[in-house]
Amino acid sequence: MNQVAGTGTDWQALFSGDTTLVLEFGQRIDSAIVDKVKSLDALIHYAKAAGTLPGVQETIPTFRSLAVIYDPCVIHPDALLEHIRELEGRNPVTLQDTLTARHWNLPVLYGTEHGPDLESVASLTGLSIDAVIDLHVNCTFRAYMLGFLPGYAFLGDTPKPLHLPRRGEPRLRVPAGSVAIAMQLTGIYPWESPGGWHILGNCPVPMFDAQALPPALLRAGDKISFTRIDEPTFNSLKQELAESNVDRSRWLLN
Amino acid sequence: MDINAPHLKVVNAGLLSTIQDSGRFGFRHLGIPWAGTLCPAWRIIGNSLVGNDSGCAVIECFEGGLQLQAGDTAVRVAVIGSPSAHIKLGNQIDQVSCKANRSLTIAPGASLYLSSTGSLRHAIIAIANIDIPEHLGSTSTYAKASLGGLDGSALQAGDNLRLGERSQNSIDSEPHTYCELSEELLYQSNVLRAIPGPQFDHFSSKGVDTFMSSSYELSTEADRMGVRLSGPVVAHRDASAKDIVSDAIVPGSVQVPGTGLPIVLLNDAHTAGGYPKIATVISTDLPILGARRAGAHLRFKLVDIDEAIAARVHQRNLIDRAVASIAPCIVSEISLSTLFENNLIDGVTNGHDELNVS
Repeated sequence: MNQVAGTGTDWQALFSGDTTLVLEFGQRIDSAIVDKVKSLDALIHYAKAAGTLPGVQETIPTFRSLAVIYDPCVIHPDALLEHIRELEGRNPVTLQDTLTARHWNLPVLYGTEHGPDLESVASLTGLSIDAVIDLHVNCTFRAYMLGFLPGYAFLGDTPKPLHLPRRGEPRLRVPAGSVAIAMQLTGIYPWESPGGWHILGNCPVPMFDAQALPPALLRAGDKISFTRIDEPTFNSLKQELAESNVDRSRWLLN
Repeated sequence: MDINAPHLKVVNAGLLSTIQDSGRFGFRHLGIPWAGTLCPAWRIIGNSLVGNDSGCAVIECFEGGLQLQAGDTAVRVAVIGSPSAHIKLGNQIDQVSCKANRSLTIAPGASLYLSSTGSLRHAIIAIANIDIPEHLGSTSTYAKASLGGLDGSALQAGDNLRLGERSQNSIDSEPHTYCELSEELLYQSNVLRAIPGPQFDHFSSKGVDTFMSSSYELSTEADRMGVRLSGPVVAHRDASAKDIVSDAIVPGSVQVPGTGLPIVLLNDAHTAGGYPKIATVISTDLPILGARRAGAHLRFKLVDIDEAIAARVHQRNLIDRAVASIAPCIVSEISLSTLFENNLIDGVTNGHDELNVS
């Protein structure tokens, strides 16, 4: 009995039931792996759109792998893997350059009651509060993957001096919009949810809008920078977003 | 909503009743799970019984307590699930017991009462001409992201389900139909067939032996997201094997967190997670986890991909055969709505007798 379904140039295919193959590139968080996952994902989507990849329903890119969901009554997994290897063979150059990476600049109110862990992060890292904020706003993040909650993007890499393990005691209620850090990652909570990350502040821009298409603001591969805003700006932005339909591209840099 | 338009009113929503269809596909990469009925076969058969397309929205009701009342037009429905489900048609005074797995007519102003889903944990209710708006390509309710259903949430007392324009009279004049559900489509098996999971090698050989040879009890922590099992602890390879960098999750993924007790994830589960997955329950056997109640003793049986595909083909054939076998009820001329309209039920039943119409 084997979990391995086959191998490709940089991956091994693992069964995740009878309708999913997980093409695993590695077992750690590494932007080089994310690039490979993203490239193969694009290849599969082009082929699917062109109608040359029968039976494939959808994919899930993650830090380490690309999950390919298919109907085994339409295509046997062996044949699907052969198709994918052929796709890779015909496109040896990474597609990363041709992908349009969107760059978002998102406003964040750091500290106050919206960032209850800013002070403890400063003391745990031995940095001043301003130094913590400076490190966070001067970093260009990348959305590695979405998951955990609808619209929740795992952003990396948080600057090394800010790397901390998860909080010992997770909070039962982390408010929507909370910008939080743990290990090398930063996340923005689209919904109120339990959570164990250190909350630095709050971003008033909704991460998920069920009426929009696509409903999630971010997608894997996007670049994200943060801009520090003060409390009055935060409050007026909140009000504006609640009262009117704001074009989300307003926060795009490119 | 125009109260004169054909509709069905939710008088009681029961424990958990949601609108579901085949699911919301294509958004897992944004963290949006499929949702959809836990027992697809029941949705397909139910919709066929009431003359709908198989992909139409249905109500998935856990345990019972559901009361649906027709407006000014009769409504054809079918409850699919356990043959021992407690189903009645009528009003507060006069009620007549009815069977699952056949079509029924709720007369104008009368109600369908699903007081209990019987020997299985849930049932589905198919409704002729149900008209629910799609949200991201599906009517399936996923309350966490306010998607699907009537307003993104589970059904509540007072909700009105809109019905389409097709003349209810023409449906009513068609004979009632029934479907004999085979044992396999009632999902009472104690065996969950599973394929070794992506992190199979994160478990010691003793852990794998425990997982394969033990009986696990379905705990009360069971919902549309997943089910927790209780039983012998499955040993990880070592302490470092208890957490992984987040990886994709699908319905059927069997996660084993640090506690060593397996969790089988279902339709509403997160799309990614950081616990190692020892196995994946095959798509054919997933409905068992929605149909069986807490306390059920289940075993895992590892199979290879070709056995899993054969099981999937077999189940599709079973569903096709069930749909093909749908036949008019023998006493189809006894229309329940006619009986109600003419007030002929009075005195005929004490409300506990089974009206033998199939």
